[in-house]
Amino acid sequence: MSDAGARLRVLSRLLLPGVAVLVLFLVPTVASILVGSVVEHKQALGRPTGENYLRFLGDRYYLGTLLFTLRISLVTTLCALGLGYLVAYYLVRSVRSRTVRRLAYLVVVAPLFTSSIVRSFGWMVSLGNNGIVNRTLLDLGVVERPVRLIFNEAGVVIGLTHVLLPFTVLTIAAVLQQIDASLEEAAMDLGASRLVTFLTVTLPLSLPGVVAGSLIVFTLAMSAYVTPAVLSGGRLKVVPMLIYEQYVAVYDWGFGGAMAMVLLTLTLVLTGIYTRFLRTV
Amino acid sequence: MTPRRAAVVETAERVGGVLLRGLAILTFVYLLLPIAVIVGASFTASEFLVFPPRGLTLRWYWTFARTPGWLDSFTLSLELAAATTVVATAVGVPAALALARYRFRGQRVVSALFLSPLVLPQVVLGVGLLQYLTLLGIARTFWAILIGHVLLTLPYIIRSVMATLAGFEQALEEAAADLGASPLVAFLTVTLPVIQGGVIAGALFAFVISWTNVEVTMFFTTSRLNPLPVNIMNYIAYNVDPLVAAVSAASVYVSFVVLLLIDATVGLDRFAETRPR
Amino acid sequence: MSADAADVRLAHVTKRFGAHTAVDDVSLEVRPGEFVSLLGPSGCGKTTTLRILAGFLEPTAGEVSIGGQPMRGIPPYRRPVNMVFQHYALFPHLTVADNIAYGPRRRGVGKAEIARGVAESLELVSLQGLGHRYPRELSGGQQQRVALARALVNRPRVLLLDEPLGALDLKLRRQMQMELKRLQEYLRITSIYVTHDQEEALVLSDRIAVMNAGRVEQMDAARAVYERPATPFVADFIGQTNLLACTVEAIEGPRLRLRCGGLPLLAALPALAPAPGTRVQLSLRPERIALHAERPALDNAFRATVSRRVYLGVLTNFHVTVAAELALVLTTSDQSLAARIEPSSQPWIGWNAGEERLL
Repeated sequence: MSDAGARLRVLSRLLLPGVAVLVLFLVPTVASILVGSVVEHKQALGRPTGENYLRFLGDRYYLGTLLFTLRISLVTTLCALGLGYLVAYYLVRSVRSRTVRRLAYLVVVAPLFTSSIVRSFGWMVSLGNNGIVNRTLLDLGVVERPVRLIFNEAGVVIGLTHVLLPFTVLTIAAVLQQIDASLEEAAMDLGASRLVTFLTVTLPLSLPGVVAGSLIVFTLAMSAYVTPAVLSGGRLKVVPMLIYEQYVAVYDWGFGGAMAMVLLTLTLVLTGIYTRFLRTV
Repeated sequence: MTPRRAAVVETAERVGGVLLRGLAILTFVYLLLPIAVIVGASFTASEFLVFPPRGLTLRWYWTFARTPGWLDSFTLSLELAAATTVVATAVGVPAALALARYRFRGQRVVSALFLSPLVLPQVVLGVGLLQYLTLLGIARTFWAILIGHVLLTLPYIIRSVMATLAGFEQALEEAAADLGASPLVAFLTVTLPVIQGGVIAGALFAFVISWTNVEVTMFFTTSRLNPLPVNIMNYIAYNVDPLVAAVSAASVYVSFVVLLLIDATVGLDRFAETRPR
Repeated sequence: MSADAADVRLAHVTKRFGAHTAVDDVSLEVRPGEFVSLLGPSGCGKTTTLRILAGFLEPTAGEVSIGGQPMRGIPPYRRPVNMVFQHYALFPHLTVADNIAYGPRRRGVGKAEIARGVAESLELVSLQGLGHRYPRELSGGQQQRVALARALVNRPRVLLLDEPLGALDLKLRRQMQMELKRLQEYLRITSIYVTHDQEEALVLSDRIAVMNAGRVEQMDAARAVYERPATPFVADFIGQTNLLACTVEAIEGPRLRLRCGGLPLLAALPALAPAPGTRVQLSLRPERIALHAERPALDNAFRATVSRRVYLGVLTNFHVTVAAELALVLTTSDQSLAARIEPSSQPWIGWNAGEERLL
């Protein structure tokens, strides 16, 4: 019996459909953006040019948009991290019943199962001056006049944090779950209060989850289109919105492609750091 | 520790516990709020969108069911999601088996490529596919959207199946062979039943991703090829009324049925633990 | 016994993984109804040998035959053998009864007959009434029995067992050893048992093949392996022993005069007498050395210094040094004597020529 031959035959049959999809669609997709962005536009046989990239990275407006995108992603990441840690810790350490935990997970992943447009629509309705959020704040006497929560940076952060929160909760919960409870018991046995135990044992041990969750959230925040487009009311611009404009309204695919490649590169670099980080932990 | 200090610490910890719980519940409210608002507003008897709803009526759902444009979008999205699920599962499960069970040259590259749509910003995937499929002349067709959705969902199925295979003992297949099962019979009677949770969860998740997607889909739509989420987005740009709330709510109901199915087949807590990338 | 009467025959079987030779020219035969253990430390090739028999691995060289049939090219699912896996490998999605019925179903056995076989097998391993349970609902010992029943129901020509008791705690393990032995003797089923536990091998086996670095160092009856180890490895691996490096000094009638680590010793003259000057290894079991308060009238007698006394319940071990150079371990079951001999005291130790074994 030819072990190796049979093995190869089975392996190639298993991989063939998947590899076909990759080779026929995924690879040419990325290749066409790349090629489109580096050859001169509106020419049958374009010469290679870095013009599109220079235009994007050399222009104050576009560069500002890029920096704004990074900033809003950072703020979103911090919010998702804080809330996510809180919920993850609560789920793993406080919830005892499996039913409650399942219900809680149901709530946590609910945003992932809802279309970004439906979520943003929901925020549009909730965050306006007459929306449920402002009315509750007024009723409780927290504020005297309605706060502007939409069509500005705050609205975008609220919407992005909402959909990215599941990622931080899940990554951090997974890491917390793996921390041996006896380590915390040992700390308390050695005289550490619950808070000190958390700060000296639990938090440091959960850092890999925190970093992993942050990188995921940051890359996803950077590439979100629908949420910032709807919740900024078009008054603010992030890079994915610029790309969309170039492709759908301006029809400058070369320039749009250059921006897409920059976004993709940033994402890949961050993901590379993330994978390396996970491997060293 | 003095008794006095112990008492202080104990009180502090109790307050901390209550605070944690309170903040966690507030966060849960935050997570559900926009979804609950849309679902709630869809029942309003008023002509304009308001939450909490004024009065209760199903008339907006009725209007939705009688508007051909909306109904077409709804069925188109269902068809797309079903087709995506079938194709992605048929392609993804064998690929996951190959990646999990075999060691071969170039495995890391193949595996990275399969999972790469996870890190590819959706807008980038969308514009790239638009560029490429325009070249092929099929940019604004059902097939274009299907290809986009399959690329998008493939990594989720592969990961879901690989996660169950990681806990799968090779010895089980050997035991089957030892007891007289040929490789095919061993796969059908042992491997598949053991990994079916991962397959089903992955397939259901693929369904939802296709069902809810806007950011890839939006590059390929026309007035007659208009999946539900994109139709909602275009509508909202000009109109915000209880009708579109009812349509949105209907989209949520479909998602949540799938969500409950996942919970019933694998248990959402277990699903959640294999989910983070 | 002729070669054809053997149930299992390995002839010059070698298995290489790249540059590593896991099984190195192993030849052995197992007779019908015999219980043979493959015993050795981890990485000695015993599991690889078993997996070659089961058909999960093809040997790089050599021939395997089972029941007189050559096995080359025959896949696992067409071999007349069944295996009890190390961690049982029970199918988690099937009940106990369905696990046991898995083999008969593959052979297309009729429904009624399967039901009968399952019931019989469950009874054989004393698990009546647990057929509807799932593996995860059983204790480790019960899972072990199911794994055994699942293999036995097929009436294999040869039963293969891969450290089947490794996951159980000591007490349960002892109990299962006896039960396994009882079953095997009752069914007279040819069995090959892989283990690294020498005590288990001694208890269960008709014959033991001691393996090291891919080779069979010795294959013999349990008693013979213990009392007449063929190599220093076997002597050291089976039970405890004192291994001494010696030089032959002279042959004195039926005795051999040796010098071991500076100490003159008398040993029995083996059939093949070594020439004076030859370097040999001498194995001396701890229980063969006697403790005495006074100088004993034995061929070898020395005053020793006790460096450590280890109480073991039934026995007591003494670590002693003789003439400040030779460290020995000896064992006594005379606990009242042992209690009187304190650490640092200087009792006499001794043994007659013939208690040792020259390697």
